[in-house]
Amino acid sequence: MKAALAAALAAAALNLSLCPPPLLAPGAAVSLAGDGVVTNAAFWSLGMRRLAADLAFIRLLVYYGTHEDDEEGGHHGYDGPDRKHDGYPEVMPRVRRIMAMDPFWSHPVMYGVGALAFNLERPDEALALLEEALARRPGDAQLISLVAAVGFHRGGDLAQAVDRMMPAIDLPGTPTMLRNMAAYMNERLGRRETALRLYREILQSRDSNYHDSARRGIQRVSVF
Amino acid sequence: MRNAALLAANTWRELTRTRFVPLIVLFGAVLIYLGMLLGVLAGDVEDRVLLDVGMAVIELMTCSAVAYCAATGLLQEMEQKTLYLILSRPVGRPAYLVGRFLGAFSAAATAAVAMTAALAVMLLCKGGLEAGPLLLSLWGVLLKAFVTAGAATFLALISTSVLSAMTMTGIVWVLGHFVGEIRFLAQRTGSASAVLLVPVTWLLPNFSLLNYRDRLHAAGGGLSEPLLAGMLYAVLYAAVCMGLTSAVFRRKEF
Amino acid sequence: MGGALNQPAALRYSAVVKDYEKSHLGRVTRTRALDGLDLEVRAGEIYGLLGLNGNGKTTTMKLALGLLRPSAGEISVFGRLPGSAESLCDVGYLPELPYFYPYLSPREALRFYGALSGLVSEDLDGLVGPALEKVGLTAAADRKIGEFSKGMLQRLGLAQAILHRPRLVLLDEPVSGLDPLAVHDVRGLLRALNEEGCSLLMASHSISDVERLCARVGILVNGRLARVVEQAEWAGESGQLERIFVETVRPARGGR
Repeated sequence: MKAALAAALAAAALNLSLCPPPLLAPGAAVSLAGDGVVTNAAFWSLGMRRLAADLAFIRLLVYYGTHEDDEEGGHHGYDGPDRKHDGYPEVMPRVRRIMAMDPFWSHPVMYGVGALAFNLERPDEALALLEEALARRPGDAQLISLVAAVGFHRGGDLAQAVDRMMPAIDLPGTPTMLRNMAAYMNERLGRRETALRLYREILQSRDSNYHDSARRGIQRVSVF
Repeated sequence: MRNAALLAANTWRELTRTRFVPLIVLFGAVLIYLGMLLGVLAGDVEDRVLLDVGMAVIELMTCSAVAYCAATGLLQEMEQKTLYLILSRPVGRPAYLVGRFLGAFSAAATAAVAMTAALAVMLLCKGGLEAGPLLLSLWGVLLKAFVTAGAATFLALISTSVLSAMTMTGIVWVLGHFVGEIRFLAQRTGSASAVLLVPVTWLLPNFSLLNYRDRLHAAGGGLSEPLLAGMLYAVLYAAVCMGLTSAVFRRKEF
Repeated sequence: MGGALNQPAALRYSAVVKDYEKSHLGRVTRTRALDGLDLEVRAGEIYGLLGLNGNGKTTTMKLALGLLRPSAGEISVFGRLPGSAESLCDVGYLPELPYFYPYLSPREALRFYGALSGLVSEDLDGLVGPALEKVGLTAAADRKIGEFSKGMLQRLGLAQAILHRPRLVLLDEPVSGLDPLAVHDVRGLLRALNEEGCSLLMASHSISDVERLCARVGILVNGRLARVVEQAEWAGESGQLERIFVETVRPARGGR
């Protein structure tokens, strides 16, 4: 019994002293709003925060990949900083929830930033996301690059935006959507070799949604 | 120790020969394969989704298996009286309990390793196998299974049926993942009743300590995790459960 | 029959009381199974235990193994506490209904139980085969126990009880479920064990087997040893032990 008691005290001490890294940024509020909260709570209760984040990201892909009723044509192209798109209001809150679930995962943040800044032309929302993400992961090189890229894009300087974006693109873990964006921007700037390389990389990626777009891009660039 | 090892080996033999372990592995492999369908929807992060779904399935199957083995093993032996031929020999009751506990855990661990190997093969075929995160996740699963086996053994002895033992184990397992949240909420509310919740969190197994799967890509990766301390915690917690089980079992008559 | 007059008693019960308690919704019900039992099995003797159903035979055996604890009184096994590792090394037990793991073969089961009794691998290699032969299970040595008949289970139960060469064997209905030939063989086996110096306590409803094997017989009535009968009292007179038994138990049942 003495041994069991000693083991119990030692276990309690370890329980109290061992601290997994914080999953909430300092000062973050507890939020129960948003759809899927019950599902997410169920996943958390089974110790599956990462999986909950994965499923939330898949839902984001489905949400953003589904055309809205009043949409004319596609929304995944780059139309320039003057063509603001008001649709898909849930992109930012969804990305924020994914960040809350898995603060160590920057892929959804980059995806959201790419969508908000370069597709939907809402750079302020993109910068807000980047700010929150960097509060959790200060020093993340990809996110820092994107801050600069979005900032220059908001100011209308495409060349500088692309120059700041490329270091992030060339690091592993970049969403294909962002790579596709960068390829198109390089193409617009006349940087054909870079655009061609990026389009070829897109063809090798797992996200087949952008393969057709990459083939068309290769054709266009190869013609010139 | 010798008797405990003999009993553990016999329990392992029972669970493999009665096809329980092979069925768990087969079912788990099928579920992991179905997880590949989700991965197709995930595009760039297919490997991550496959890893997460796979390890989630492996953890659920392993912990369910160990809870079932620990709960049924003891209760069945008492009901079917196969216990008489063991306790009528110079086998101490603590040694008997440790043997059954280790046997249940080793059978479940065998299943976990087999399922992880199947997952590794699938990831390799996809070109996305990262041994480090996979092994770290598996380690966390095994530690959780170790703790669950201890809790299930104790709960089986104090409950009246396998169903109630497994239900209680399931509740403890779920609450064990909320220990951090319970403490956080208790601090935020600051009320007297909330403060009473804090000692409860000392009794519950703190599975968030062993949830390496959820922190695979934290700063520094797995190297920043207190792995040895986590293992020590799991061993101590299971030891406490077994100590309590032994105290109850000593007083039992057959 | 073998006997060693100068050795301590193989098994001794002194004023042993055993109450079974059941609590239900705060109410505790006590059933007295043994009421001041005084019984002694001398070293080297075969002692028979007779009694009607529910009169404490199985309880008596389980107390000697530590499976039950006495509510009062003292029990010793070769002078040691019952249920201790030292005493259990010297005891073999055949329960009334021996339960085995169905997925094991007899060979595997005997190796398992023998190892738990402290036998090492080399000993087991030399003991398992002969034990199976003694109980007539050599042909079925590698079959799964789950396929066995009741008689085969009983034989296997006997094999595991004697495998580690105990000094005392407790037998609860040893011939239950056996055919007449097997009964004859088991009687021979038990006699041979006794001649090697093994003490036996045998609880049985089969009075004919008891009177052929035992040096003394105790008759349990309502948890007490109502009478101890020496072999001389029934030897040479067919049916005499049965008459003594009926005379002893009938008044306790109200003459029914």
